[in-house]
Amino acid sequence: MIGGTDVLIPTQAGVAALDACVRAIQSEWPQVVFEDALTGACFEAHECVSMQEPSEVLAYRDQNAAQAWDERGAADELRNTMIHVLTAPGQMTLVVDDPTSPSMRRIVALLKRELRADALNVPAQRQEDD
Amino acid sequence: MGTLPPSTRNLAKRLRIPREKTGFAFCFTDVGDLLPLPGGRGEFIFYSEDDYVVDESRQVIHGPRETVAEQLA
Repeated sequence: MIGGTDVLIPTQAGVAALDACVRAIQSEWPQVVFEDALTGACFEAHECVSMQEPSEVLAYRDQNAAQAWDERGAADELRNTMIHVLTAPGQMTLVVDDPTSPSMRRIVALLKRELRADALNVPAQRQEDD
Repeated sequence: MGTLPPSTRNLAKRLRIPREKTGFAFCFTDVGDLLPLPGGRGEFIFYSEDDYVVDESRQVIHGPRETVAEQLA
C-alpha cells in the first residue's frame, strides 16, 4: 500500500516556494540532508533556487535517516524522518507520515507563513483599461 | 497517465513503501479507470477504491523488477 499523507499547499511562488520550503524544513531539522528525487544528487539548501518546476525533493532529518531510507525505503522506525516535496505550477505537495506530529505541524505552519509573506511582496499589477 | 517504470531512481521513497515491496513488478495496459492521487504524486500514482481486477488481455509483463526493467528498456 502506498504510504504517506499528502499535504497540498496552493502557491504561485514557483521555485521561490521550494526555497521557502527548504528553509522551513532546515529550521526544524538543522542536520537535514536534501536530495533531488529525480537524479539522486544531494544539494545544499541554497542550491534549490536553481531547480526547475516541476521538481521533487527528498528531505531527510539527518544523514542516518538518509542512509536508512536508502537501504529500507519506508519503515515504521523511520516515520517522520523524511519529507517528500513536489512542486508544480500552482501548488506544492508535502508528503509526510504523520501531519499531526508537532514537528510536521511546525514545518507546514512556517511554510504557509513564509508563502503568505512572499505573496504580500508581489507588486500589484495595474489593470489596463479597455 | 504516466506511472513510474521499474527502473525509476528512488522508486520506494517516491512511493513511500518498503524497498522490499519493489522487488516484483506487474505491468498492465491502462484503460483510464484509475484515480490519480490528489496532489503532486497524482502525476504518477493512481489507485482504485475497490479491488482491481486486471483482465488477462491487459497483462503485459511481470517478474523481478530488474528483469522487467530490462525487458521494457
